[in-house]
Amino acid sequence: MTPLGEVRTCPVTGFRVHRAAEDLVKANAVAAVVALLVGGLAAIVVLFTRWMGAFPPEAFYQYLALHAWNLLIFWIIFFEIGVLHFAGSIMLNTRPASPAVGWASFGLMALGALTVNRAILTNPLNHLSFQPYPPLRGTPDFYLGILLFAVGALVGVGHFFATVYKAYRDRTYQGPLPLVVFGAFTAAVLAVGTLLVGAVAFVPAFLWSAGAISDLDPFLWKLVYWGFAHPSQQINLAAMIAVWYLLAFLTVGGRTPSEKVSRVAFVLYLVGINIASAHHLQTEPSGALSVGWKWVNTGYLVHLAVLGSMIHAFAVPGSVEVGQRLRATPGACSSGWCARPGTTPRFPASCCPLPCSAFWAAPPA
Amino acid sequence: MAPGAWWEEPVHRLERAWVIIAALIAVVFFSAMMLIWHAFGQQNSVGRAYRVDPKAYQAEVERFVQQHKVGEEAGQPVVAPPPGSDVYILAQRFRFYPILKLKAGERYVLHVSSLDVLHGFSITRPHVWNLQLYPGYEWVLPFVPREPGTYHMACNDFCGVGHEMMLGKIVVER
Repeated sequence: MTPLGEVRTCPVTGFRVHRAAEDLVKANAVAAVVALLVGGLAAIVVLFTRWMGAFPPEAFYQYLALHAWNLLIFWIIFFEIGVLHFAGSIMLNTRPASPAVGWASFGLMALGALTVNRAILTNPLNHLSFQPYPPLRGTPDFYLGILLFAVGALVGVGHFFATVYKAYRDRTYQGPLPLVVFGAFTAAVLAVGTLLVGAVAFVPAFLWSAGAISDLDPFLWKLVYWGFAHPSQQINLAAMIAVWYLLAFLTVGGRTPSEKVSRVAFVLYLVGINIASAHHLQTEPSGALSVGWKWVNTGYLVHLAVLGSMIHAFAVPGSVEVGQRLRATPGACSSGWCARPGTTPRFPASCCPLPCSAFWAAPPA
Repeated sequence: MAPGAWWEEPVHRLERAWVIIAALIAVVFFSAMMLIWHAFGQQNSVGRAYRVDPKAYQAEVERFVQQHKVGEEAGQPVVAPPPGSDVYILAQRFRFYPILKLKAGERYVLHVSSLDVLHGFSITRPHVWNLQLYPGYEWVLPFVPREPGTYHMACNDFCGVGHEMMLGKIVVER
């Protein structure tokens, strides 16, 4: 572990980088990309399971489970914790509140992710894809792995809040929280709600799997489960958008056209985004969830979050445009935008995801 | 920047226009389109569901099968209940039980539930039904089969290795 006081100035961004934070960012980012790789390779195997001669039918479910848990949970939450270490410490110019706690968080998450992957690879009972609804029962280590990962992530989020408080107390930044940190803060708040709901689903599932409790209500479990499984994608959404604002700043010195509008858009995520999870319950028995309940909860407040995404869809490219104009380079639809791709990989890094997300990621449902 | 100064900054007219357009889209999608989809798009499952003891439901289905059985196909009973009656389907790993033989243009009341784990109940042609089956909940759906033909229902919720073979059948005759 690096000495606590060690600091360097990044030659590219000008940020003062605390080594302790940099190591935590690197560890989480590498774990995220490894999970992305494992989940992506599993997706390719899923494709090949159509070739029945080479793969038994159960291989489909096994690799689908591997794909689902690595891409929908491990990749995005490792990535988010990496973003939180970056936003909390490096952007606010303070050292992490406690690197040891940061490493404990990483250790728990890594142990949890490995445990779940091992459980899926070694026991057909755990081929539960992303719908592990009781009474289908996995082995205890499957649920325990998810719990370890969730606890680790919660510790990481708590560490972020502590680091932001430390920066606030020591006055290491001026004015309001920078927009990127504000966006990361939004993702962190969403993460707390999501992971706590995950515990409400997976603590009883673990006890049930281990034989400590005899019965789970399948309907209630599925309802609570989607309070974890869908909002976990929204943590990613909020964190990614915070990173896009950061890339606009790092690439061309961009700043959002309006701090007020962009911040309100992040708050709209907090208010409306988790409501979207009810759409996973559209076909539930009407004796359990009424048609009216489904209608309100799938179509009502979710549009506040859609509005948030629409605002970011304007403000992120708007930030690049503002940056271009501040640097007195030509603005939109002129050579300024077109000349950039050849000069720095950061430009396509910020521009490629935008049209992709317009089709796949931005609508929070 | 002084604390709170960001709130006082004016919003550029282009962004203000964009926020208004985006808000209008959200309002239209919520207030108008959701209502239209709900009323005309058959977005939500119709019918009622009631609490039921899975074992009692299984016994009810067995009585129904014994009463109206007309044949057998691939180890599954084929059941032809009289028009206007209640018809039953039981979902269990990894089959829908029994095969139903119905008359086109007649009214039936379909009962469907699961014995063991969560199953899906999906008939994609005509695309009318997509139900989540739970052990302990019994769906009750009045319906009139209109077009003669053979309809297959698939379980579309993973229920264990063997899920891929879980297909049911309803034959509608003239």
